[in-house]
Amino acid sequence: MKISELLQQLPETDRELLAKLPPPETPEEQKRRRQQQLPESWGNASKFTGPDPGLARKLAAEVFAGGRKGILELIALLDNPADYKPEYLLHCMTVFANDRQQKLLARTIASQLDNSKARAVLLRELQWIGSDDVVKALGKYLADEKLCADAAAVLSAIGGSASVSEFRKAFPKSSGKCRTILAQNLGALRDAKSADLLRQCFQDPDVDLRLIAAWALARIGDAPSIDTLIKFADASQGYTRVKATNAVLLLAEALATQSRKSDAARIYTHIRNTRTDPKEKYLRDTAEKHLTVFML
Amino acid sequence: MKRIHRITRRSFLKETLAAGAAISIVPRHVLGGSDQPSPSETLGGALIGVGGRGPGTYNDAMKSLQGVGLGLTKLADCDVRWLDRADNKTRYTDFRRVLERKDIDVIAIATPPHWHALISIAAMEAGKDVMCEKPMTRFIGEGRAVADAEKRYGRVWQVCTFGRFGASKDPKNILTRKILKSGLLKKCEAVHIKRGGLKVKEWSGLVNATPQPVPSNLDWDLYCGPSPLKPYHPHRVGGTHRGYWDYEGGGLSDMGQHALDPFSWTFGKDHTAPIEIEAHAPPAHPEACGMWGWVEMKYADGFTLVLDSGEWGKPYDRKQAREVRLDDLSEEDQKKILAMPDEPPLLGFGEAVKQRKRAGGNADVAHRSSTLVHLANIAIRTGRKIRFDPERDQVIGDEEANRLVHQPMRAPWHL
Repeated sequence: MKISELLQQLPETDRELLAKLPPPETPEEQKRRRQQQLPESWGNASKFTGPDPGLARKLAAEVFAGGRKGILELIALLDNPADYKPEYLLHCMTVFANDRQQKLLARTIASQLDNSKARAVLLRELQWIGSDDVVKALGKYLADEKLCADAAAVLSAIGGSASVSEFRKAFPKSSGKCRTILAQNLGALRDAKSADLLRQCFQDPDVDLRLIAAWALARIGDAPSIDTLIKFADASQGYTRVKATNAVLLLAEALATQSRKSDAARIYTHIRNTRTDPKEKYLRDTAEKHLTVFML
Repeated sequence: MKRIHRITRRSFLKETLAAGAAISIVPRHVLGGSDQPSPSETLGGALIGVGGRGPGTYNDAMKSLQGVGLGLTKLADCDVRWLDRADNKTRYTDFRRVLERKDIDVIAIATPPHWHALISIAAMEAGKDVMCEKPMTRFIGEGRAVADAEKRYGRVWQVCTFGRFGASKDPKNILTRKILKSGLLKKCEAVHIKRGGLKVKEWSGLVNATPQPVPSNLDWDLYCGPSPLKPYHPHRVGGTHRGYWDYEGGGLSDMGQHALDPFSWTFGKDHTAPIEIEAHAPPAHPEACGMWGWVEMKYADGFTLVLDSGEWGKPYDRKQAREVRLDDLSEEDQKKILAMPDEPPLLGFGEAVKQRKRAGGNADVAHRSSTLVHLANIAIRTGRKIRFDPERDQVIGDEEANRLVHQPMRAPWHL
């Protein structure tokens, strides 16, 4: 059976059902229909109900039975964003696939990233089922201003050394928004090998990037960054000072749990002694409390 | 032999909390002093997310503080929709500017839930106390991060649902809690069924919305924040944001914590979570929250919690509701229960701010009740039974489900 025929078995939305009704006979009916056709109005959402789970499994299995060719046929139908059914069936396949089907689906989706008009949809599905198999295909989008956030989300969800390697590889040539995204993900995945790269971010005029780098180095627990982070926090004002100070405290926590007590103590003592503004008393208290807890 | 004191991150935060209580941080607004406001001084407040429920959230914080003799004056409002009012001194479009103000002590948060955790954490890092609307979070990993920040900075954080305060005064609930917390009930056969009231149809998202131009008065990028930057549609803002996984989790997220927070207190589940979760639902749409029938959640002690929407499919009929009974115990154990002292009353937000102690609806307990909502939604979205480790906040043996427990955030936003 053709994929387009399978899709006909999926339920229609309220909007589609309304469009099929005969023309309204009274002005009241006309008004009511008009309101129903504007689902963006408050409380008038499309009351979408998916099919019986058994039917959805059966439809997904039929596409899988067609192998890669069947999946490609479905992906081609995603180009029409007004029709929810191809996107929905693809997601059903993502959810219901067994291990073997999942690998086939992920590889096939990844192979279409260059050509499809529905890249965001494909990346979203890979965020569910992507594995090391698709990491290389995603790496090249880390330099693409439009797609780097979505591609990074997939790699971050996959995690592991293969994903980290793609982030690290893309970092030196990156700029702007993509660079911030890469720094954040290197920190999220606690990549100690990126510490040197992250420390270089403190030369960058972009304060968002410096804040992300501080947080990333704190998560990594990078002892050589202590003075850099303290200097950055001490010199900052407003929200930047709040977040940079938090990064300093996170670094101290990380070092304390690595049994680097003297490093942690140095940080806490610095915060306790330098946050002298009455409105920063809570930071002095926080540092004092941590010195007590860690018996520093 | 020298004893090595090794600290894990989790044990560290527990000890931090204990130390915080022991060394008793000076309550700066209450004790007064040369650099401290006097007890009679009114606290400075701000509301972040002013639409819909926002004013009510702020009033809840204000009443709670007034109840213990503390005033609260609103000094700032913040909402991403107010680009045209950005120059007004007390109205902001960016919450970061609000948190910079040193005259603000209390933050009320009523944004869509995808911002709750991040603003809560940033506010506590800035030294503010927080009252945050429910649901506490958009996904499970956020809840633990909020609780960590609450302990790290010794701030007061309270979720804006108050059913547990009433539940904790009901003698029947007090007895139930004592029985379950005592550990004397070896085999728990209790079944609690919450039927209806979860607004499933009401907060369904659109599955075929056509993208539209972003209105000139909306900062769409900031609105999306940590969530993916999707094409704009008006149904994604305002109350109808509830119908999208990017911002909330349908009616279950919207209403669930109201019902499940008092449940958590009564049945002694504030410090644990179900270990097995199964849903009866059609396959969920990847973007829009939709219909579901029921969700069954089993705890390690045998307790079963059921959410039955009453809005899709056949009603739940696997088990009948069954209460926790004193006569489930031996006579000797019954006497032990009846001899147990009552717990001290839960502290409301105002009292917690005044005493510098944890609020009754603090981040740890709110995290547990919001976890119930999220686990139910994960079971609905994955279409299969999931097993959960309450200690580690992780789904066991299901990588895809785990990706919904900890979700990537769009830079520069992170936990």
